[in-house]
Amino acid sequence: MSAREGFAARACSEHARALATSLVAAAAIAAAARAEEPPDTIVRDVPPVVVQDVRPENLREDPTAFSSVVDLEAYAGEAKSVEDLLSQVPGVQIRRFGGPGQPSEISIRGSTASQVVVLLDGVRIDSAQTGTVDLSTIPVDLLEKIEVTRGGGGVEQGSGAIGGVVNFVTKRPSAEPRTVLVGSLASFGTGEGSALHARRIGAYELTAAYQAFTTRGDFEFQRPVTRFAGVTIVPDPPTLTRINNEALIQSGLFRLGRDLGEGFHVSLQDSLTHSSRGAPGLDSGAGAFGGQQPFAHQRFTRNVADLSLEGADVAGLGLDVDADLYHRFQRIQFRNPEPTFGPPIDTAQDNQTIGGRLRGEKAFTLVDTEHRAMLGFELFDDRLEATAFANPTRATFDTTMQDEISLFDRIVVLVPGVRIDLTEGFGERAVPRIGALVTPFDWLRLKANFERAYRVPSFDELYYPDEGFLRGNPGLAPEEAWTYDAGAAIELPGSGILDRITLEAAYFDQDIENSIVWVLVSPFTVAPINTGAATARGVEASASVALLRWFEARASYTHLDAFFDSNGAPLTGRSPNELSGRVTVGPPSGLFRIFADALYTDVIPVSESGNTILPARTTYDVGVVVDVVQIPWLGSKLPMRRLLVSFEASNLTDVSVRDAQFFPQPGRVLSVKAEATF
Amino acid sequence: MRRLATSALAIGLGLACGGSGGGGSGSGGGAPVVTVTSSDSRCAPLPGQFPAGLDLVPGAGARAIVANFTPPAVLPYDLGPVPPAIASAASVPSIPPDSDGDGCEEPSFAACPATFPLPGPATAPQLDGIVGVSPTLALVTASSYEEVIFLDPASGRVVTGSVSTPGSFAAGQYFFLPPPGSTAARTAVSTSGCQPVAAGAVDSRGDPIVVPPAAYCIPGVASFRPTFTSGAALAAGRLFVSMSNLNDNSTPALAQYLPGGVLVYDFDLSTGVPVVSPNAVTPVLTTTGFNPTHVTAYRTPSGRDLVLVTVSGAVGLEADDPGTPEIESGGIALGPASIDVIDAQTLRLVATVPLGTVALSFDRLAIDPTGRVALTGTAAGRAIYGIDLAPLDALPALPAAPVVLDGTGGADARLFYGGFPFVLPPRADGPPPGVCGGYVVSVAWNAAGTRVYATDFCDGTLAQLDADLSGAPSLAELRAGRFRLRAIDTVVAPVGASSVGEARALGAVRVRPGVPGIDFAGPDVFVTVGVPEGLLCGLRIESQ
Repeated sequence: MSAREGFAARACSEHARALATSLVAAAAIAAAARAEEPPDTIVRDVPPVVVQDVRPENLREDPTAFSSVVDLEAYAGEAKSVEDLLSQVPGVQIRRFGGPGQPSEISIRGSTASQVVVLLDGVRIDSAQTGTVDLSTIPVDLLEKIEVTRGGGGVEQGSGAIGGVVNFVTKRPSAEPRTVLVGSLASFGTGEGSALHARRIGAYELTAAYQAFTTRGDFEFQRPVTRFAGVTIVPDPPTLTRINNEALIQSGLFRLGRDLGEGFHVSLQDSLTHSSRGAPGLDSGAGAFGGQQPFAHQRFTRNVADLSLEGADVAGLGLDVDADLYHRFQRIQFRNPEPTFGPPIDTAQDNQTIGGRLRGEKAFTLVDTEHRAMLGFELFDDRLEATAFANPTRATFDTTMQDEISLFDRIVVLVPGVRIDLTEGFGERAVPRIGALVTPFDWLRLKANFERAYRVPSFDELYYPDEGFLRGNPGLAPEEAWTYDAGAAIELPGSGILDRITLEAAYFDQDIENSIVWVLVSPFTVAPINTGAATARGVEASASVALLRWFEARASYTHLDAFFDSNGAPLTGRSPNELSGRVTVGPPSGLFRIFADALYTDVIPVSESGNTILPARTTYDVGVVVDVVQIPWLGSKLPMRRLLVSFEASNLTDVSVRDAQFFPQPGRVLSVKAEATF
Repeated sequence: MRRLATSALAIGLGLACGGSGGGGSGSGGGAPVVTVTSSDSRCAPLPGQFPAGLDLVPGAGARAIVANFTPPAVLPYDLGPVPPAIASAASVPSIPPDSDGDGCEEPSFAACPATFPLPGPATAPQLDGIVGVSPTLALVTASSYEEVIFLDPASGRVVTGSVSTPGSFAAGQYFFLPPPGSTAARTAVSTSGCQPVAAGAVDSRGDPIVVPPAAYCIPGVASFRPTFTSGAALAAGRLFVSMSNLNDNSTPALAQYLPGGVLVYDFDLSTGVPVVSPNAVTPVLTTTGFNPTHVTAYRTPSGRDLVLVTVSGAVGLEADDPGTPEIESGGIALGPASIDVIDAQTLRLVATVPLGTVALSFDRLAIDPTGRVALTGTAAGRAIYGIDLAPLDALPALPAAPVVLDGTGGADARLFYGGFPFVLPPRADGPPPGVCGGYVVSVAWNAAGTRVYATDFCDGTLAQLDADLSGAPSLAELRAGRFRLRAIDTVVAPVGASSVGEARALGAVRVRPGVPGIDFAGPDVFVTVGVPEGLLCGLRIESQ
């Protein structure tokens, strides 16, 4: 059965290739230092709440949204990846397609990765080609915080903001010059190093940073046992070593800014990321490699340049303005000189976006109500330079209007808004929203949002080359969604031994029309199609408590019910329940911090019917961070302001972890890390 | 204190360096358990999608075997219960990494780099089809590593046989077999053989076949290595294996096939274990057309053993028309199809029955119990094709060239062919014709020879045909009205946007031997389902 077998196997192999390619997602960044960041200080006090509900003033654009901020200072010295940090945010699920350095993607409230807008310093890095971002390409050492807005965001961000928005915020200069050197070593030949220098010189600000990550990635893994009809199949061999899993990921960041006086600030930022890594593909099949590809290799490059001009209280009119010109370049290369089937593969796609945006905000009072009105415009052009895709281009123009109306001395805040998008090939689209925040007491906030969101199909979905087994679908309609949520947040001030306690709970519901799913459309072909309506709804809750300035505990929980409306079949890859917790113990001086993280992930359906599931698991990470400078007899002899040394065991109990059926992840990982701040 | 701190730092760095050197445990503890269930009470779950093959086990009562694609394994099923029950102990073995027992795990270049002679991809067997031979032996065809694996249909474990290579063969002619003139214990016989290229031969695109001499698998003889092991059949003490020789499918609408081949092995099961050797005189036959996708053993009424080769013809995939909202992607017939006839004794290609450009499907031929008619489906439409087997008994044993049984110069064996297909109606709520315009995967007869079943991948339907072969009808009578559509049963959902999450993609169909309601009480017709999970479903049709 040559044809059938060949088609099936080729489709499988191509699947892996496409998956890997799409996951190597992309785009880049560089952005304007938009909001004033708090001065950078060395924390020697009780660490801040790590993943905390955001007070309105932190995200002034969207006070009604359910948002979280991951403050990386609270994890200083720990060997955490971006994926580790985001896993602790309620409503967020991370899917990893391998170990460190291998692709990973984010889901918020049951969304696909392409239904999440990902920003770096406010500039989108999810490209028009894939619509997703590979989180492993985000340089964690260069980040100051991660802002996560759960649910919607279509008015602010436009296409793609159905599940939510993630904004990676890089480190900024503070009053004092800062130099940070980081080095770490971990199991399986994994090493990481970074250097960052940030300072202000008169009216100038400068940030220069570099991070490199490398790994052999040759971890041993347990192959899955399949249980069906009362029996099991134990793979042969039962364990394998991940092959062709080495990676080198390098990132650079440069930002130069200058205060121009009269409230104006201009900055130029460039961010460059390059990764070169093996693409071992799926752990499925026969033989000593278990189907892994020994020769496939990916290279990924992303550069984002952003020229930003900000003005505060322009001409004394109370008008804040923000203008950006940005360019994003991304190259994805994939080679497999000896694929399982067919001729050698050697592809490259260049993806570019150039655009500009202008936004103005003004606060004013009208009929005893406070307003903060915003009007914005953006124009950008996406183009994919790849002959096999027929070099598609797409221009988008949008207008955004939003008001923040404060009533009754800010007890009630309403945020109505609308965005009008005009996307080449997809016409115009209005995206309305309304959000409400009620603060009856200082410690209680009630929030609710109702908004429209949509996603224009990616170039991959539209124009993936007609390889027969995989092909794009130029006839796709955009995904559209109504999203709404409601919930409450409580923050109680400290008293006695209690430093702080916070609680938050929300219900969310996302009704998605025209979901785009890659499915089998004919005997030999998988293609994206609009599959009709789907729903993702659930509950997310988080709580934290801090005691005696020594102890802090935090937990977040997400329950998700995501399914196709037509038949109730689950959306694959989403776990119905996820619970994370973190405990830290350490003195206010910051001398040391002992931490323990736990993450429970319920079963994960991996087939359309939900009848094939991955097992539930709980993983534990433990470690200790010591600030050597705080050691009295030693610290005074060291030249740095802080020297953090940490030891950490991730996945302490050596649990087999898989977010996707055929992509193994490593078991227990030991690491040591040192971070010096001068 | 200072020493303590220094020591702690040193220990930490040592730990990390040790870790970076490959320590750190990290095997992932116990194996993750993937659970597969079925929500259809008629169907037993299979451990992966797209089961590669289904067959009954001769002489083993209500036993069927399924070749599973991923994880690669052979699963024995008891067909009596509803749904079919796995007929095994608590666990089923997967195909071992050294699938042929040659001492080198596949891909052999990794395990045996010193001896592996073939540069190329990371070949490991990809299970394709399965043939039940006896209660103690099943043959599983596998491509990529190219072999036929010996398995016990009761346990799914590989069976060790004896494989030898004729001393007259050139070294390397069969790379993965024992050296010429020697014998070795093996659990599979390699089909990575050698097929000569006739002078002036062209590929399925009509281009001359140019094999660089350095790539000849027989020194000095223009030849290539056959690929895509497809079907296997035993006849006259010989094993016949079809090789599709798909060479390049990077342009699916214009896939390239090299001349099709059928490998011939001497096969002896008299000792209870397979004793196999490539036939020393005729190790390979070249088919009349491209893409032979299966072989079916057939014994004529006079007792002559023949092998019927399903020559599907070059098959490609329809290119999408961006001007339409559909994703045109069905199978397309790129070249003529035929049923070739091999005399299993003389090892000559004695006849061919041209059937037109119809992309015959890839399952074995369904031959009625009287041996009069052989039927099959198509990968490019909703139709059944078939041949009249009556003329085969009179074929010469050693013709100068294969007799063409199309009625132009003699007998006509074409029953349903391109110019006269047995057309099956589409499902009303099925996929658009341009997207998935029919793929009749598999055809089977009932034990009485009165009914034909055919599965349609696109529609998820099982067609029932009434057949009347009584009274030795002529070919004209067979065509005229001896086959009538009885019913189209909806078994699973059609392929398409509206059925995401539902069971769909019907595969092979087999009918349990015996008389339903008398010989057995359970389901009588069995089909496989491809997605979202693989399923083996038992249907009560004749016993209703």
